[in-house]
Amino acid sequence: MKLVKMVTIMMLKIAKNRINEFLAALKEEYTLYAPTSNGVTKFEKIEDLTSICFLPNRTDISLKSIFFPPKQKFFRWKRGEMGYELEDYLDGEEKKVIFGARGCDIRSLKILDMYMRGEFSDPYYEKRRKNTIIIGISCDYPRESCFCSAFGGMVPEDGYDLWFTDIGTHYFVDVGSDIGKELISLGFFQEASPEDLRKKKRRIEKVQFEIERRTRIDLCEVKRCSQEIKKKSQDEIWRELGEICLCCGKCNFVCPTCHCFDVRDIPSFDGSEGYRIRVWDSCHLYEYAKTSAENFRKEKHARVRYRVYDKFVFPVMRYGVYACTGCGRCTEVCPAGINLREVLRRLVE
Amino acid sequence: MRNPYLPEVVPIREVIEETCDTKTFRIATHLLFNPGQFVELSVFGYGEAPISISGGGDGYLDLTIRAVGNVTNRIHRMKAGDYVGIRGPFGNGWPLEKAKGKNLLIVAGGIGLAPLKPVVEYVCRHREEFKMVTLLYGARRPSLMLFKYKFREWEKFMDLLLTVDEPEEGWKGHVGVVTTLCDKIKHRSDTITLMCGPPIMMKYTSMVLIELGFPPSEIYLSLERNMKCGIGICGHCAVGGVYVCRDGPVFSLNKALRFIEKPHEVQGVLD
Ligand SMILES: Cc1cc2nc3c(=O)[nH]c(=O)nc-3n(C[C@H](O)[C@H](O)[C@H](O)COP(=O)(O)OP(=O)(O)OC[C@H]3O[C@@H](n4cnc5c(N)ncnc54)[C@H](O)[C@@H]3O)c2cc1C
Ligand code: SF4
Ligand code: SF4
Ligand code: FES
Repeated sequence: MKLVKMVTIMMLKIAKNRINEFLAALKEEYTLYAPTSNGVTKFEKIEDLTSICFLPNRTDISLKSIFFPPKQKFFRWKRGEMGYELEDYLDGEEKKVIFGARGCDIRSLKILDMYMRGEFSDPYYEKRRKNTIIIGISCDYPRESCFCSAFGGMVPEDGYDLWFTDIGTHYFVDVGSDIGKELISLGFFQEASPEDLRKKKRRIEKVQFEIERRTRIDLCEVKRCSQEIKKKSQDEIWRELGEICLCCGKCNFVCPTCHCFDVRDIPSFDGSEGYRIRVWDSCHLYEYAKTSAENFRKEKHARVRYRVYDKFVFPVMRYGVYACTGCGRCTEVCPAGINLREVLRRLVE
Repeated sequence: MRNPYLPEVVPIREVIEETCDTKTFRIATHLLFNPGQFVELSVFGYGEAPISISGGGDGYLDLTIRAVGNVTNRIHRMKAGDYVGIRGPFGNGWPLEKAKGKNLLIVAGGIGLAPLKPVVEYVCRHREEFKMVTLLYGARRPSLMLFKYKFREWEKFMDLLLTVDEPEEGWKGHVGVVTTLCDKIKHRSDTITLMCGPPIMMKYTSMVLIELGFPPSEIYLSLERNMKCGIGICGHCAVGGVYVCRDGPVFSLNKALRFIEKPHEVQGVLD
């Protein structure tokens, strides 16, 4: 830890025209993931460095699919002499570098880790998640729906190995870990000046100010928000939202911290073999909490409330953490126009 | 690290017909369990279902299963020698330790007797550990009662109070829902209650027991929820901030009443 401090104190930057060399060097040893676009922006495995998109802010699709794909094989089963033979499909272990992660992406990984690497660790997630290096980057300006300032702001406290901030011809570089320090030793970095540091600070403040202006939820309100929402379980807002929510589940699928899944069998035609898979699931869907005895969240308003509670109340009670990053994805995709930021504002007002 | 999603492939040793829609499958495995725990049962090609362990012995476990859907209907067509998968055991189980030295009330409705059968059998083996013991069991019809062939044995060790919703020919016992038998329980104070059954039955029975003076902190309910993983990750079983699979399925009534999202099983209780 001491050493890391020293490097940070040294202050570093990397010239923008050397980024590709740096990434090419990383690609030698690691599988590189970075933002790409085909109309929709998302993190993809990079074969050709020119396919990387340098975006001004977060991607449309979140990071979670790299570690928790929408559809994933658990194992293959095959009828044999002694019942069934199982072949485990644990995969995706390769060493990864994620380049271009945003503050909200990094916080979302911490939240997913809390669910997936807890008392019972999810081996399929763990396999993909370990050996992951994260290079984050400050946003140039927020999206309309962003409100990360409610959860600590654009620059995360930790969870990155390197953090880049645009200061013109260069990126200012913060080092967040020993691994980050090793990356520095690859040799594409140079010492930054006090003027560079000032530029970085000004840059971050400017964007931060812009996000806060949009959010209009300040931190002190968020600290209160779990308590406030907890008190409002019978509020009329849930009925109102239940009326307009289509229960399509889009908000769950784009959310970087939603991690519910269903487990299914996909047999071959004759049933002699097949796959056990998991697929993303959504707490907004009618079937979600249905058992053979009863449907425990039959009404739409109960499901809408459940999702909000499962971001702002339950995880706070259980882990002391909000399970929302303020990325605004749910708001952006909602066909019913439900704006989470506005819902929160009404709840804490 | 063991992969908690990979089932153990095990043969069915024996199939016992219980009622027209329920069978007990004796599975060959050395898995150890506590009464009230459950396994995720795999029928390959059909999927998984959480099933309580209804008994066990040297090298086997019993799963008593009512045919209601995909997995449960399929296993009903299987026979001794066929293979299934199990993973677990999951869940906390009944707080048997708390009941030792006290009166014990066991309340079951329908298939809810399955997770309580290991408790009943424990009592038969260790009768001296408890004061008065009562088993209160209700079924829709006499022909739907589980483990009838065991009743004579059980009666030697505890008060057996039976009831049915609709009588059939030859039924001489009580008719009415479980709550109508509650005033026949001979002990009130110093009693631990263990209950499992349909949500509506647990709700009304809890209300009646509280009225009779049983404290809500000593009544334990086993909740049924949609479960996919069994280990607190998939989210399906969550209610009011707890995972029924991992934190439960057994909760004290007191605790269930304090969940932020009130479980249907206790809605209206103490309101
Ligand atoms: C902790 C726990 C322990 C359990 N222990 C037991 C046990 O010991 N024994 C046992 O039999 N069950 C037990 N259950 C319930 C059991 O898990 C479900 O019955 C099972 O998951 C159904 O799976 P399936 O694939 O057969 O049904 P699915 O194909 O998943 O279908 C179930 C659905 O079918 C519908 N359905 C079809 N027929 C009926 C019907 N007749 N009545 C109601 N709904 C119907 C319902 O809407 C239900 O949602 C337990 C559940 C839990 C959570
Ligand atoms: S995206 Fe909007 S309409 Fe769809 S489930 Fe979420 S809140 Fe409801
Ligand atoms: S709840 Fe909405 S704003 Fe919060 S992390 Fe999920 S998608 Fe982003
Ligand atoms: S069954 Fe998956 S969280 Fe409980």
